[in-house]
Amino acid sequence: MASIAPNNQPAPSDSAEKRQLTADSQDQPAESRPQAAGPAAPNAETASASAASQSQSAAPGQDAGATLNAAKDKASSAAPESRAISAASEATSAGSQPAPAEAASGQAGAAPQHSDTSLEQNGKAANKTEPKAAPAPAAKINDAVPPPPVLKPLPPGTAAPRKPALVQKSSSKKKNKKFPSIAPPSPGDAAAQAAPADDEAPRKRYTPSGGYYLECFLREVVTNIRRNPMMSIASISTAMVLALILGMFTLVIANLDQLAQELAREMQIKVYMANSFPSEEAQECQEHLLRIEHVTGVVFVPKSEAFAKLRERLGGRISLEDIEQNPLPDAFQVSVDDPKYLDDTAQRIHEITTVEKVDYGRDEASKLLALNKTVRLAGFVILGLLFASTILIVSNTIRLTVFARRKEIDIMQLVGAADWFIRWPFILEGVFQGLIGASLSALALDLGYRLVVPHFQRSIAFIPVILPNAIIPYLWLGLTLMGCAVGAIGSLISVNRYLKA
Amino acid sequence: MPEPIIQMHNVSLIYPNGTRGLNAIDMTINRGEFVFLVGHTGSGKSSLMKLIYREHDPTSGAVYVEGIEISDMKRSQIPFLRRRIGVIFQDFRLLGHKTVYENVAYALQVTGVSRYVMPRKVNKALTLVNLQDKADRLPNQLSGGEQQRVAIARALINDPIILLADEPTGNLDPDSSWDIMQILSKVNVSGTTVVVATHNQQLVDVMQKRVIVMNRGEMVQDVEHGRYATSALGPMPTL
Repeated sequence: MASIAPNNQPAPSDSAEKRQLTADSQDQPAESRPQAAGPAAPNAETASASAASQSQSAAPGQDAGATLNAAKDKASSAAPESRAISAASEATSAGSQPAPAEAASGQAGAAPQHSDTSLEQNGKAANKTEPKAAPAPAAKINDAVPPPPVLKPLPPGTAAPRKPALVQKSSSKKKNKKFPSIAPPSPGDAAAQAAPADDEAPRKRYTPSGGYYLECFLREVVTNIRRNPMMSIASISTAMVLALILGMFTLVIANLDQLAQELAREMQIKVYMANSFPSEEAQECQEHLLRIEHVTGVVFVPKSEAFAKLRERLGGRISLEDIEQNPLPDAFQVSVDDPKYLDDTAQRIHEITTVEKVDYGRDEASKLLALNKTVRLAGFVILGLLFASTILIVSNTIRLTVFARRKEIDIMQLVGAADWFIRWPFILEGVFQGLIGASLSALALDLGYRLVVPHFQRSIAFIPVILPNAIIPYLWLGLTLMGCAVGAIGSLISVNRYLKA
Repeated sequence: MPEPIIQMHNVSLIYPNGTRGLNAIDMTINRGEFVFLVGHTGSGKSSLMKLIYREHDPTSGAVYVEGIEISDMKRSQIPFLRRRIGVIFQDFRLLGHKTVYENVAYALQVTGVSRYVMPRKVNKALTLVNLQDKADRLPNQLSGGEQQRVAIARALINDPIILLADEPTGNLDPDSSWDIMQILSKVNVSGTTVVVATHNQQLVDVMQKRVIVMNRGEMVQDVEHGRYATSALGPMPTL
């Protein structure tokens, strides 16, 4: 008897809400469901609270079942959304204990056997009271809720119509981006606007921007590195060492190359005029030289210019201030179209009276040419191999760190993370590690080179060393770009392998 | 009013190495039901569940969730399916380097929920499983029952229509197992369809819910208020 009475009492108030709910759900089944949940939630709460107050006089076990039932009916007739958490918590608030089922068992002493019986009691109560409670509200609900899709076996070859229900979240986010006033007015709307259900409101109005995700991912990257520093240190140090080797070799080879070029420039015939050569006649002499066969260009280097060049070359190591008179002669740099005419042309020039010395270094020229080629080729090969090994080793290290986290990637997929949501933190981590490693090595090379170059210039003054400021910026740029690229691509490839699986 | 929420139509599953996982299964589960899947190891319980959240594709036949044929869905739609289905496992499968709060919040983050709403929802879910005061512990600092409860909170945070439990009490002692089952029945009462694959005879007998018995990939028995009837299970698979 006690079980029947409390059930009848909530029924009238139930039907009132159910009428409201049916009005809602009739308008737009898909979209008003979140709104229907809104009024349903507070209303269900008040109803179940009233049911609870009424039922408290009767035996707790069966009433817990009855209120459970009432809550279940309300909740199942309301929306699929916000059921699990909000309705369950309403049931808990109605029972005013951790859980109605647990409440029954808790009162009996929380021993499994007692809870067995109470759960059975609840089941029986459900069986008994359901047929009585069902007819009144259920009839109204049946009209309102659209009938479930009748599924017949599809003939082979037809694609099932793709209903938007499963992607409702994203599309409803886009559709409901504007405020709810755009939606056709229904009684549920006013209630929803007045007391927006906290579960539904953000899904309607808030669409996260790229910046939100970026911040989210960066935060996750930082947390990952903080909680598992050894893996990051492995990747960073690998990148750093390899970038260091690559950078060092680049510097050495660049310098060698420049040396070879510089020496090759000496292959021009240097024509040193006698000290008695009047500089005013330079133009005439130049034309005369040009008329010689195989001569392609003649450049007049007055003694003042030569002196300035010498001073620049020495770079201030040797002071030239106390030399009053310019000891250097005027000179012509004569370029020849083909090195094999060097000898011939040199002879011809030597016949000119005002020419004091003709310098072209013939054997050295051919040797230098060959050396130059070799240096260039070897340099490219070495750099190419180093580059390839850097990429391989760094991406392999990254692959290992991703491999160690393949279970996590699995769990992330399980929870419903989109592929890009899983990928981006890994990519950012790879970029971060590559960038840090390359930057550290670029820094080391920068400082090292700036220290070493002055030593070189002091000891071997005439070797043309590439000045730091000319090459270090390119080194920084190249190494950091390479670090970022290798980190990003290595991570991307590694993660994709575990995403497809 | 029975509304089918999971339907399997002549579903067969053959694994790449040739073993037959499922054999012409026809099954309907309605919204709001609580279903036990029982059977020996290898009888196909886990395979059946994996089809629902599309861990595998059926070799033949069709699986329908809420009326949509998921076996035909594009791969890019799978995350959206999985956000509507909560799954818990025997080995809990929590992210080991994230705290309890972050584990539950991760399932919410993937849907792009605003970070202002997140704390409220996460705390609500944690309160539901009674873990609100252990929110900043790491999983390896929790007991088995607590870890499973975290998994349940994570599975429920997106208000799923279906909750799948693949041997949820396999690693737990009897009291924790009972706690978990109480939480699951509480969840079921509030409208979520719950499907539990289990070996635990005592739990199945007590709960008196629908029991589907599987054996060697086939559905042998489907009883409304069933018990764990060992006779219907058939002989043990030869080892």
